[in-house]
Amino acid sequence: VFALASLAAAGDTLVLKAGKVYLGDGTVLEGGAVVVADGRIAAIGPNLPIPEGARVLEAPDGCVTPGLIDANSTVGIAEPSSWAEHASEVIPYLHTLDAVDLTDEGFARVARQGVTTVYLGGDPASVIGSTGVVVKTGGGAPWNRVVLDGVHIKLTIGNEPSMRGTYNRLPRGGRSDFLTRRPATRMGVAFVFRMAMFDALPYAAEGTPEDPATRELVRVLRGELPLRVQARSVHDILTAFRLTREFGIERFILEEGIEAARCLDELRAARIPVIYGPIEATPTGYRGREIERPNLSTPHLLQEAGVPLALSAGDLPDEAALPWQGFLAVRYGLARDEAVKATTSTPARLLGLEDRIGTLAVGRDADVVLWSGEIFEPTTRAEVVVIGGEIVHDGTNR
Amino acid sequence: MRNARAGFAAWIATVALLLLVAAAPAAAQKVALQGARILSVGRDAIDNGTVLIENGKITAIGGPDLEIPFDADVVDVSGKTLFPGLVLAHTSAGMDIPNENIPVTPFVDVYDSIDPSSFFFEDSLRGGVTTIHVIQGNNTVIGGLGRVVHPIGLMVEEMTVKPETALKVSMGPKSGFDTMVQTATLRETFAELQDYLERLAEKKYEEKLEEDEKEIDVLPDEARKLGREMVKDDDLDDKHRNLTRLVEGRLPAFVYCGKAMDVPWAIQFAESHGFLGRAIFVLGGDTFKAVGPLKEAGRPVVIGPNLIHREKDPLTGKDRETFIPDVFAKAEIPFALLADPGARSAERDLLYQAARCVREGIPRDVALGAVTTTAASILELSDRFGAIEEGKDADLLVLTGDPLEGSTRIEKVYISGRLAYDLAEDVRLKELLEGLKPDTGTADSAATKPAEEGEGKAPESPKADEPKPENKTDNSEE
Repeated sequence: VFALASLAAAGDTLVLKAGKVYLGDGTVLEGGAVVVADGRIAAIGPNLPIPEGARVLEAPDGCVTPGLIDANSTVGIAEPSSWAEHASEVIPYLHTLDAVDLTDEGFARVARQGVTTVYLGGDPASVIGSTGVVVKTGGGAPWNRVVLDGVHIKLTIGNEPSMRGTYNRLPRGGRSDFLTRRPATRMGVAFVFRMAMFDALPYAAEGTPEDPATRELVRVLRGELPLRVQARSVHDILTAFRLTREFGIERFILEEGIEAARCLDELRAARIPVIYGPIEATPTGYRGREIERPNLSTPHLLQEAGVPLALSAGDLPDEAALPWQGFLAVRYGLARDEAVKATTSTPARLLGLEDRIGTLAVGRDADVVLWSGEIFEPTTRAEVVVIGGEIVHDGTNR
Repeated sequence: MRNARAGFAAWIATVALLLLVAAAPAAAQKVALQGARILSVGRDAIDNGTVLIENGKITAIGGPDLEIPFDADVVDVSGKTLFPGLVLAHTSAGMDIPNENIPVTPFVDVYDSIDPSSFFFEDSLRGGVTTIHVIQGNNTVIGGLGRVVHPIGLMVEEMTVKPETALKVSMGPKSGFDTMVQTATLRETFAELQDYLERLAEKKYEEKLEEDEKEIDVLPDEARKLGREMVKDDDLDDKHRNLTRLVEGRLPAFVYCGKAMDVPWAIQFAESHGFLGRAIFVLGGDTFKAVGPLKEAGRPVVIGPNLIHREKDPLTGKDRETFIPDVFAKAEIPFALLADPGARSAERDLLYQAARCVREGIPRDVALGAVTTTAASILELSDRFGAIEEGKDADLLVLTGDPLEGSTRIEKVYISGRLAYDLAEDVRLKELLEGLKPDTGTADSAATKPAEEGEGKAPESPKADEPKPENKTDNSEE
């Protein structure tokens, strides 16, 4: 019986070999293999013995990396336009997961590009949005792909909470009443945040409030639930500092942070990590409205300043997914191994999942990508994508 | 008196200066680009090669032993790669509005709509695109005349490479139209043309008889045939003249098809109206499914900026993904790739579009040809553009490396042998890359010679992410 079991296991063993192996933490092996068994990484090294019966997938000119992680994605959200619940501007008691269609083909599309894990957070139309969820983009049954729910909550500063949403566009002669009233300015957005946090303050040390929103915000005050702040322009980023400090919130994660290069010192001093992106010279929509001076070399500048950096494609279409973001970041100055870190280990750490994903190490989830060439090169494609030990995309036999 | 003399001297000086300026272009301008790796589609690479340019044309290509005339400006491009300027075969960027409201407009000319100061042209230059075919968008039934331009110049005349290149004929329904109305309008337009020409021919024949003081000697049908040759282009208004040139094969057509179902009909229609022989098919949507008829038609196509087609399988609900250029590469149909400067992703850069093709397994020469040689031949300008060859226009890119490598920068762009773009002088890009030190990034930027003034401060090249002109509404980009 034992012999049979081990034989079956060997049959499921997968070896990904390439001329270069990025471990994700900044280490690069010149040539090597990653052995995958039982959904986990079984071994990594330059001259590993290939287990008998193992399936070997190879790219001599290519490389192996951990599966890429987009820490601020919108893939698979099933709501037609917005997933901001307009019953309130403060909705941290809602779960983005409930708006996600895990069977959505969008997951497979980004998986084919080498993105194996995504974080789906609150809609920026809310002041404090729904809590986020971490989802794998493939492998196994769709409903088993949820890695972690209720990861972060999100505060949005800028035009989106004050200008987006059906209730902010009143029909001619429409009345502004308690159903339709929403913050119309950045001041209003800040007020809504302050009001919500004031409700939570009395419980900062102990006690459990009745109100479901306040209950979640108390966890932020106690440091149990990380706060993300979406702010793009430099003045909104500085508002984020001011608002969080008012309530003694020492750390937050800056999301998008398009103009972050203009306040590098502040970010470094406060040790604020940035989930940066998308990288665009001419941002459009609300992004374009908020940004005066995009700086294409921001990822490089953040990394050089010692600010923890994760790259993200945000809500851009599939053709702008992480490989394109990585290409741009490298093109405009970010070192390639830093770009790999910014798409693997750093986002994993920001999501609190560094023990499971984001690096190639024995025992980690087998989320591995074999690239046809050097990663983030325009002519390189994700040849084989493995999620949880399962091959979800195989371009070798086409 | 003294004043008058001084004035006279000043006048002489001015005249002399004017003469000098006027004479400058006439004098033989010789430039030798020396020491580069010369790449051109379909030709072997030349290492340590020299390109000799005379009066804007390439006059000689050779190795290190190529003789350089004593009066040539020698530009040292050692360690660089020379690549032909890119050719964009179809765009409506650079125009104020891509389409009219009225459906049939063969009488207009993009000449009146091209804005030389449009950011699109500056951005194209930065991205290495030196030949641009501007033509009306696809949201029309019959559009006006296109024009091939260089992205430099303050006036359209200065930019113009070739006027009156082609007419746009759209088979995909214009907004507000359905396919039936679209096709009916097309038929009606050409039927009206026929009718108009016949009536005019009959009139011409009758006029001729009158002139010769003869009686009407034939039936009207015969008169229309006999009079046809007497109708000259000058007798026609702009609308009928351009359509006549089209049906007589004197003007190419860029035929837009938005769906596979448009394609066979488009081919049939073009054939029966005499313009298939010079038709270029501009393809959107799922038109790649009609690859069979397109292959049979034997005409080239233009694809993009969207290169991936997705549709839900009606039975399984699964996404079906097709990399469109792959279909045409396999069928060996010549294609040109398009890029959209307004796109927010990988689709905005022409060289990146070619790189995507290589990524998906299309041969390198086919992919690079789609932005150089094939695109030039689609514009019927292969004798001038798309390749580094003797006799061709000296439209060249000085690259820091291979055109398909991510770290490669476009350092200089030559158009007709003149320096049109220099990365070191690109102020706008410098601002976008503020704070970037010259020694960061890749090996090749470190390899650039720091000796010359200003060069050490050269920022990274743009390619993809530059400010873009305003979004246009063009239904090819769905």
